Order: sequence, then C-alpha cells, then structure tokens
Amino acid sequence: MVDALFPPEFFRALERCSRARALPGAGRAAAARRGSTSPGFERARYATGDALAAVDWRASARRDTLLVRLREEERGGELCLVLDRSASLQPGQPRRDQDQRRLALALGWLRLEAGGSVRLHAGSPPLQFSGFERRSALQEALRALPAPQGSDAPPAAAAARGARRVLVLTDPWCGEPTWSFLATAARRCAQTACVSLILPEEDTPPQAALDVTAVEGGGSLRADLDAGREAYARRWEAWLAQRRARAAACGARLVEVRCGRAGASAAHILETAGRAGLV
Amino acid sequence: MFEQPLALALLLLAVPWLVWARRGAPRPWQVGGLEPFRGLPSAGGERRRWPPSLFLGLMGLACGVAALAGPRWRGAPLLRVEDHSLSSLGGWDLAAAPQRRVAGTVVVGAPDQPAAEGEILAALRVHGCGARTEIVTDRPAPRRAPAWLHWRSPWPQAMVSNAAILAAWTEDDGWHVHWAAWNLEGPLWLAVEGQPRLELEGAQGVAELGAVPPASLISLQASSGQAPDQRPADDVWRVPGPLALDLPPEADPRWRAAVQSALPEFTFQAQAGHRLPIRFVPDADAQSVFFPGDPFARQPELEAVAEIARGLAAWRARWGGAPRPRSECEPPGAPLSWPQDLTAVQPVAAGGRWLAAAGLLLYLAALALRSRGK
Repeated sequence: MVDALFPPEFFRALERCSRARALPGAGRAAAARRGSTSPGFERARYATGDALAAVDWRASARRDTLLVRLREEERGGELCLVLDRSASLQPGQPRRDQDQRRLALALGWLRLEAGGSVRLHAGSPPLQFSGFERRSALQEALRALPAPQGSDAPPAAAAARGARRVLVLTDPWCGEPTWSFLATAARRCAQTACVSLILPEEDTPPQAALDVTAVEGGGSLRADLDAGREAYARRWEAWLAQRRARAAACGARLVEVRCGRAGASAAHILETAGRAGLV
Repeated sequence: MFEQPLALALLLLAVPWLVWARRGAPRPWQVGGLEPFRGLPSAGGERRRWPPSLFLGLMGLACGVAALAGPRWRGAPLLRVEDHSLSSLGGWDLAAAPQRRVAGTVVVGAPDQPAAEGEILAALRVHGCGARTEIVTDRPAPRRAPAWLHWRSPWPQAMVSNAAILAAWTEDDGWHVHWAAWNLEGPLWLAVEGQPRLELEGAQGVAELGAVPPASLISLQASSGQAPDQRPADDVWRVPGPLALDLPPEADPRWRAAVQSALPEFTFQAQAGHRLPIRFVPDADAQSVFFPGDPFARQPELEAVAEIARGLAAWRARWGGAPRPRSECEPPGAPLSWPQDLTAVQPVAAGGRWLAAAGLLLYLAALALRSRGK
C-alpha cells in the first residue's frame, strides 16, 4: 500500500538531495560527520540585505557574479523544528499540511544523516530525535500529527535554547505569538528562519465572486475576484512584503516556499525548498 | 393524494431554476486570513448563498405544481352526482355506500323519468364539480371521461341481460302487459300473485292476461319460478286498486248504473285506494274529471251514458300506471363519447384554487425581492 503522505517518490527526491549536499562546490564539501578541523568559509550569492563587508570581491571577480563570504555551515548540532499547526495551515484542502510535514521530515532527515539531532515542536511536549537510526521515528511522529486546528501556539522562547538552527514552518497567516517567538529565537540563535508555505490558490485565487471565510479567527466577507483581480494581486504582494519586513525586524530570515497544487507530486516541496536553499 | 400525479414531474423544473439562480452566486472559499481580501469589490457584503427570492420562487413553484396536480386528501368533501332513475335506484343502497363527507349532491333523473343522455354532463358543467367529483349511476362511463372523475356504479356487476315489464294497462277484455327480454335463455312466464298464468315467447310482446284482481302483483318468472334476472325491480307490476269516483251531491242517481255498465273497474266505495272527483263546474284541481253540467240533465239517457263512458275512458288507461322507459330496462350499449373540451371547462377545486393563488403570490414576491437584489 502506497503511503500518500510519504510516497516512494518523496524518498527518491530526498535521496537526491542527500547526495547533492555531499558534492563539492560552494562550501558544500564539508564532511558528513563533524571533524576536528576548524570551520572555514563558504561563499553564497549576494542577496538583498547582505552586508557589503561580507562581499568576497576576489571571488566575485573570478566568478563574474557577486558573492558573499559566509561562515561554513557546520554539520551536526541540533535543529529545532517548530511546526505551526494552526487551522490556517489547512484552509479547506490538506496540501499545505502535507507539504509542511514532508519538508519537516526532509530537514530532519538530512540533519540526522549529518550526525545532528532534531527537536520537533508541533504541540507539547517536544520530541527529541538523535542518531541516524531515528529517522523512521521522526517520520512516524510527523505522520501521527493531528490535523491542524486552533490558532497560533508557538513553544516558549526557551525552546530555542541550545539549538544550532531554528526553523519555523508556518503559513502566511501566522500572528503575533509566532513573531515574538522568532524575535526571541533570533537573539539566541543566529540561524533562525521562518519558512512561509504558500498555496498556489493564495497567489491566484479563483477569478469569481467568492464568499471568503477565514478558517482561523472566523469572519467572512464577499469579494469579487473577477473585478478585483489586480487589486488582490497588489494587496497580496503587499501582505507578503509586510511579512518579510516583519521577519527582518525580528532578525529572522523569511523563506517563501510555494506548495504544489492538489495532485502534484509529493517531491514538489523538496524541489521548491531546494531552490530556496533549505535542503 | 393527487388527481394527476404525473403533473408532479413539473417539480423537476426546480433543478434548472436552481442552476440558473446559483450561476452567478458567490463560491464558498476558505482562506487562512481575510486581510488581502478587504476592500475588494463587493467585499464587506453579507453572505447569502441562498437568496430569499429563490426560496419564495421555489415555494411558489411547489404550490403551482400541487394545484395543477389536483390535491386530494382522504375524507375531504366531494360533490356527488346521483342518478335516481329506475335502473340505478334498483341497486342504490345509500347505507352501504362508503361514508364520505359529501359537500353537495346533484340528482339527475327520477324513478319515473330517466336521466337524459347529456344530463350528467350538463350537471358537471353547471355545478362545477372540480377534481373531487363522484358520479353514481348504472350508465357506463363515457369514453374520454376525464381521470379526475370518479364513476361508480350502484350495481356490483354491469347489466348484460334483463327482462322487464314495460307497461300494463286495462282494456275491455282485461289487462294487457308489454314485456321485453334481452340476452336471456329459457322460457319466461307471466305470473299473477306468484302463480304462473301465461308462457311468453320471443324477445318481447304484449300479453293479454285477462281479468286481474285489483292490487294484484304481476311478475315475470323463469321456468324455475325464480326471478329471471338479477334486477327484480322492473320484473314486477302492481295492479292498482279500484278507482273510486267522487260524485257531486247534485249528480243524477243514474250515474252509478251508467258507470257500472260502461266501466266496471270504477266504484263508488269511499274506502277505495284512489279517488277521482267528478266536477260539473271548472276548478283548479287537475286530478278531477270535468263535465259541463250533469249529462243526464242535458240529454237523453243513452247519450248521457255514452258521454260518461268517453269522459272516463282516458282515466282508465292512465289508471294502470305510467309505462317504464325502455332505456331504463335495456342493458347498456356502447358508452357515449364526451366532448374533448370538458377538461377546459373543468372547474378548479377550491383547494387547488387556493394553492394556485398562493403560488402566484409567492412567485410575485420572489420577483419583487429579486429586483431588489435579494
């Protein structure tokens, strides 16, 4: 019987990601196990917001593109995965819920393969996974998660303590509690990121009159997306930009990942997350 | 439940109506948050996936279809058309009829006067029977009779054979009986007071019975002595009792001898069953015999007796009783055809009218609401 949440094609894509991380180039040649040598530097493409002091001018001249020098990401350490399981994660269709769990498994899987550990916050109490052989336990824990419900309930700020990397997998609708957690986590952990999973229907809702209902927090209104298509596009982009700015203000990086449409391959989230540099 | 259940299929019109009404209706759409949708066209309006105009319109359609189908409920009042002609009354048993609430009764025909061919149809047209109408008659249901009409026979079985005494009268040589038989096998007998007296041959004829005592019962019998058919009402004929003449006080004493010699069926006894007044001056009583003065006072005795015999002979012929219509005794032939436009003049039942009116009002209300965008 084929597992709909984690089908074989997902693990084949995950295997490809795992092999790609071991290939040399752009600082990705670090050993799978933590070595005794000091960590060096790695280079990445310049992105808006990077400090000019971090630009590696020589390497940029050689590659003919702007590169910044970053501390080489050390393999191992603890990855703190915070899953936003509020009702807004699943507005009608389960695609974002599935992709969140797939992405969480991929991130945790790779971290465990690299010799690190994973702490999963998807409600209380948190689950701790450590060791290569605990990958299947992580998979089962993610499979057993209850359906999204209620409102945002991030863990206490102390949950980020001791983590080498903090990743919050959420949606574009997370509220003030999540931002507070991100701000606190960013002060304690340099590698704090917020992954915003966006549904295709949120980018381009149906061009028709809609009775819009908010699954989290309630409320409803009528909107004519046929006449207000361009207005919605502007408002949606402004909404996302506002959230990027809010994440930056919190000191965290906001990564927007587009989920697949209903019926798309389960490996789609790994492809989009790979393009975003998450896996 | 309904007179025309097939008309309920018109309720399927609600399906395209629903599709048409919901064509431009907003789709339900669940999202994580409302912020990007605020301020868009039509935003902020209240939710109305099923507008009230649609509900009212559908209710109007349901009322209209129900009115068209002709609602009928058990125990509801109905209008009954009763055929009181001789052939129907022979099997008519009101006590055994189903006890229903009858809103009204229209009687056609009478025991001595059969209902005309178009009388039932005329009763339907005039009295507006509507969908709840019952017709009780022994006549066969006409072709093209509408389905909303309940045609009920007072007899458990249709008449296919019969024998009847059509008329009886007295002449100088005694009683004569006009009889007829249809589709009967075996000989028939004419009996007086149950005693066979004369064997009959053929399908019909006039039998001469001779003298029959007053108030006797003449009947048709089969050879077994039993009634020849299942409808004995027309198999018997009661001979009337003596007809008593009521003479005025100034009548000549020779009246009695004249009457007894010319018309022996008449008597002057006060206790006789029927009394026939004799008048020498005109009056308003139609049941009296008028002579312009006492015949014995105006002319010789023989002429006076002849005038008295002529004046009373017509009453003697009527004394035997009115003849029975042949159509009341004959087994019915092929059913008649009713005009096809009967359904066009079919009155709508009261309940149907109310339903139709309610449906129209609901439909108009739906149109008014829809014009206001509700």
